[in-house]
Amino acid sequence: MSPVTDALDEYAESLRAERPSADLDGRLDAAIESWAAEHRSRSVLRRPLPWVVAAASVAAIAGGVALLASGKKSSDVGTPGVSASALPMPELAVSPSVSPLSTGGQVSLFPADGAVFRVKANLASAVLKTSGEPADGERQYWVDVRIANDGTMRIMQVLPAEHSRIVPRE
Amino acid sequence: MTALTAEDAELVTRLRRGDAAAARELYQRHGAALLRFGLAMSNCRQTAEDIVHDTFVEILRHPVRFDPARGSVIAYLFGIARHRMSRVARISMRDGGAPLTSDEDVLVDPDTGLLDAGTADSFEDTGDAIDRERDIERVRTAVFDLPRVHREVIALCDLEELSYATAASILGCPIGTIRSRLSRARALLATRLDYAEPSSEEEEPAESSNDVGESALSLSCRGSLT
Repeated sequence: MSPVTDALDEYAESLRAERPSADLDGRLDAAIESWAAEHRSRSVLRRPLPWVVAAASVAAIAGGVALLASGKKSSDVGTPGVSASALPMPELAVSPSVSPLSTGGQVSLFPADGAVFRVKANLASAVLKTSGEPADGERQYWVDVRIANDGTMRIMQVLPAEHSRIVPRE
Repeated sequence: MTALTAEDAELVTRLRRGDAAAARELYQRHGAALLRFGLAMSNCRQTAEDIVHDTFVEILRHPVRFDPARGSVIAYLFGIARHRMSRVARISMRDGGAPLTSDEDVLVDPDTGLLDAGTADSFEDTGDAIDRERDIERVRTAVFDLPRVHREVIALCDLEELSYATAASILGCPIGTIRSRLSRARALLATRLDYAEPSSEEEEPAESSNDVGESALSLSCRGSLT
């Protein structure tokens, strides 16, 4: 073994006695705590919580329904089939399965499981059109459309615009 | 992969999940080795501790950067420490930091030039112990005065006793380069310590033109890490 190697061995042995100071231990401990806390908070935000999904779904449905409702009541925006015609505008109907809160023509979705909207449509050649004034040979109807909270849509009933009686949907 | 490196890799995997216990265990395992490396490279405890701190903060922030296919965790940690050390050296040179060629500010009373009481008490109060400490001090100074590339291989291979392969992984060079640098570093040390070494190694050409410039590189405790 050369003198240099011997000298380096002695130096290495003295170095092995060196230990991180209490100050360094404390700094590292604080850094680890801070990092772990930050990591925990990030994890919570990333977790796909069912309630977040549910809340987002409800908000989307509510937003869509509110847009439809406002469009229906406004003659210049929204559903093209709803024109400023002289025909009386029926009030928004609510499906029988909604809560008692949704009565009297008020738009209240919660805790309803769906809502019914009435739109005016023209019937021509067995096709329903939801825009424009009726052409020759066409008839106008009010169509009740039920939109459920799960996103499904059904035509509930068709009401001739010129009559007040209800034509049940087959 | 050895059992130890596999355990280290598992610790880093746990780090990715935010496991604080894994972070502490990693520090317990390798903190002291990184501190020794920092001391050998900087000759300054404060700088060495800052390097250790920054190294672990780096792996906490970016554990995904560790790739087991490219080397062991210890090599990765030493690589971070080395990078930080280079940065400190650059800052020190830019700021005109005073060379720190010995640890006298730590071990020796600046007024009397004698070993301070605390240091002296840590050894047996004999002439042999003091002589031994002086010898170590000479070696420490001689190592610190080496060009950085040579100081690194001495610190990794001779002082930390890492394998050539691990040192090559840390320094990003072939094993043959590690061997030649080590040979050159030992020869330089022998010259500076007035030991007789084979002259053939003394005549070995320098690996790069940077070696000469870096021999003046020094670190100062005044340098602060950011």
